[in-house]
This record gives sequence, C-alpha cells and structure tokens, in this order.
Amino acid sequence: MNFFNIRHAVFADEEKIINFIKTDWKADHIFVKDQDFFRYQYEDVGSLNFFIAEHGITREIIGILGYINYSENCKSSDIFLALWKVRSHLEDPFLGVKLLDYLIKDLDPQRLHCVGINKKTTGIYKYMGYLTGAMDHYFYLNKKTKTFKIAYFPEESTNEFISESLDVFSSDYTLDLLDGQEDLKQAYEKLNVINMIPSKSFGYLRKRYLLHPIYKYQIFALKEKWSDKCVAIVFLREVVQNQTKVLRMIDFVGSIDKITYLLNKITNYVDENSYEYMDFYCAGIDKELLKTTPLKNLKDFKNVVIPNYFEPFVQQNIDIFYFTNCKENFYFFKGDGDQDRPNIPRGKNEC
Amino acid sequence: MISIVQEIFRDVFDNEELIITKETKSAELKDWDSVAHIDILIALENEFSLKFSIEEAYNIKSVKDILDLLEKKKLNKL
Repeated sequence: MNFFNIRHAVFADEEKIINFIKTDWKADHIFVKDQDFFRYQYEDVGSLNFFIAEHGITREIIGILGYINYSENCKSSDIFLALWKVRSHLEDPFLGVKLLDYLIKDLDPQRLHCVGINKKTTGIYKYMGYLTGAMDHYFYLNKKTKTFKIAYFPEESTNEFISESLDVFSSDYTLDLLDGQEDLKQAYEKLNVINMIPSKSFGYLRKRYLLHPIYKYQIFALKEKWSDKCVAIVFLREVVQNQTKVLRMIDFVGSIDKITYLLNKITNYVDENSYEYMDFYCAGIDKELLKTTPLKNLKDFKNVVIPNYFEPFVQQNIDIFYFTNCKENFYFFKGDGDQDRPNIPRGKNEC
Repeated sequence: MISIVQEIFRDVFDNEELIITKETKSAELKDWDSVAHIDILIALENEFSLKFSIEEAYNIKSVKDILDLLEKKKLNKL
C-alpha cells in the first residue's frame, strides 16, 4: 500500500480540509472561523477546488493544495495556487511537490501561477523551471494630506514623493463608476481581453468582486470620450484605519497601455475624496510606462512605509513574491490568487 | 561521503549540531519538507557536479536513498 494517496477533493471533504487547516496550520484561520467564506473561496459549480493527500492507512489528510480557477474551463484557463500546506515529519519529504505535480496532470491548465509565495520556497519553483519574482509596490500621496496616520514618511522629505503627471492624454478619457452586474457586464463585453494574461472571465470577475461576502469594491470603467468605448476596468478597495482612509488598487483588466491614463484619473479621485494615499502591487508592467504617472515605486525610497497588512494593522513594508510558468506578457495585481483575502471573520472586521 | 552529506544537511537545516546516519529518514527531521528537499538536491548537485532527474528527486526519502543514488551516479560517471 502506498504511504499516501492524492486526489481531487469532493464536497464531502470540506470538514476534513477545514480541520486540517485548524490542526496543522492555524486554529483561528478565517476558513476555520467562517466556513461560508471558505465555501465562497473554494467552491465552484460541481467542484471543491482542492487537491488532498491522504495517509495510506489512516486516510487522514496530510497535505492540501487549493487553487482558484479564472474561468469555467480549467483546460484553457489560468490557475492560481492558493493555500498549500503539508504536514511535517512525513515519510515522503517531497509530498508538497507531488501535490503540485498531481494538480498539473489532473487540471492540465494552460497557465499556472501563484501570487504570495513564501520567499524561501522560490527554490522549488526555479527547480521546476518557473519564473519567480517580487511584485513592485507603487504609491501616490494625496497632495492635501498634512499628517500621515497609516503610511510613514520622513517629514522633511514628503515633497520628493509628490510629482505632477506627465500625461497629457488622460483628459480624453472618463472614469465611470460601475454599479452592479449589468454595468460590469456591458463594460467587460467591450474590452479587448483576448491577449491578457491571466485571462479573467466575466464569471470570475463577478464572483471575485461583486459577490465577495466581506469586502466591498469600487469598480470603475475607463472609457474613451470620443467613442464611449471601455478600454479598462479597475477594482479598488477603501481601507479605513487610524481614523483615516486609503485607497488600494486591487485589480485591473483591459489594455495595459491605458493604465497610465487610468492612474492619472484615480490620483485625482484620491485628492478629491480625501484618501491619505493610494497604492497598488503589480508585476509584469513596464516600469518606464509607470514613470509617466505621479505614482512612485516604493523600491526607489528608503525609510518610507506603505503598509499592506490591515487585519491586524502592521505599519511595515511587505514584499509579495510570485511564480508563473509564463515567460513574459503577464500582469499580476494584488487581487490575483488570494492576496486580497480577509484575515478576520465577519463581524470582527473593522476594515 | 556521508560527512559531506552531513555538512549539506547542517547548512540546509541551519543546525551545526545535526547528526545524520545512513538510517536517517525524512520523517525523523521536522523540517525535511519539499523546500529543504530541493535545497539538499541543489547543494548535492553543486558539490558533486551532477544532476538529479525529477524522478530521482521523487524517490529520495532517506539519507540511505541519497547515498545509494550518489554511489550509482558516481559509477555511471566512470
């Protein structure tokens, strides 16, 4: 008999998976405390998006690998790994990689990625021939903010972070708030999403941003004034902390060359709505392109803190690492995978 | 050869007092997981100027498996 057996999970495994998270990871993990949220995150039509390794004799779970599917068809989709844990002291040290290998063979995804990998695991992905890297973290300070309560800046140098936009074309575009499913659908259908990596289906975006049970997202469409055509959609999330608020750009779909116009519009929105600052994480976007916006790359500054953890709040810079089996032309944001996942169950969350 | 392997294990597990024997199995070392496994393999590849296939990496579950594989690969090189 094999020491372990790997298979795709079924709905009946839900309790066992949650119990494994509780005993082998974190007793107060949000998936342990909020089972509905676990279902929201991992249940698809007819599928519980986990692979599990069971002990050959006891049948207890000894390893799990969760994933998020970006479309309704795995074979032609992007798959993001989300939640990967194997018990320690195992008779097979390579069980974690064997879980991943099983997922690849079973789902046969066109592209495979993970945003939020542990830095010390990058060796595994490199060994498997994947690309790894750290996301860039950009920020924009509200020109009217006098005292920073969430970010940290050396006071004497605040001015060096403030710059005007070099863009002269954003006035040719409008930023329209999308209110609900019909608005999002209409905007999405006009987008050119054919060559986007990862490819995000309308169904994925609807579930991820409209049906999220805990977070509320502000969704805007960037439209050409002359044609009213939607060229990009952006997903924003307001975070309230320390009696002030910040705006986080969580996701973007559309023509990446239009992101500069979009960011210029959003920075105006930040100024007008009294956000302390806005920030976003990304990977794959040409740094030169973003230099035409008023945003700054955190990597270019020392002694500046743009927090990423708010549940609980930690005033500290956080690097986010990723891997992908793509070599180029991919664009990742914080909303990809499970990096924008709540950490505190409903009712206890002040954000 | 086991003394070289032991040095590699001490580096990977960041434990200068770690003692391994031919009988040491992965289940006996708390941190011998996939990450450590890859680190061990890469260090062995560099030390002995050889390459492990994924299948070979899959089948290693103890220090004995490592020593046997190194011996086999050394013989194949001759």
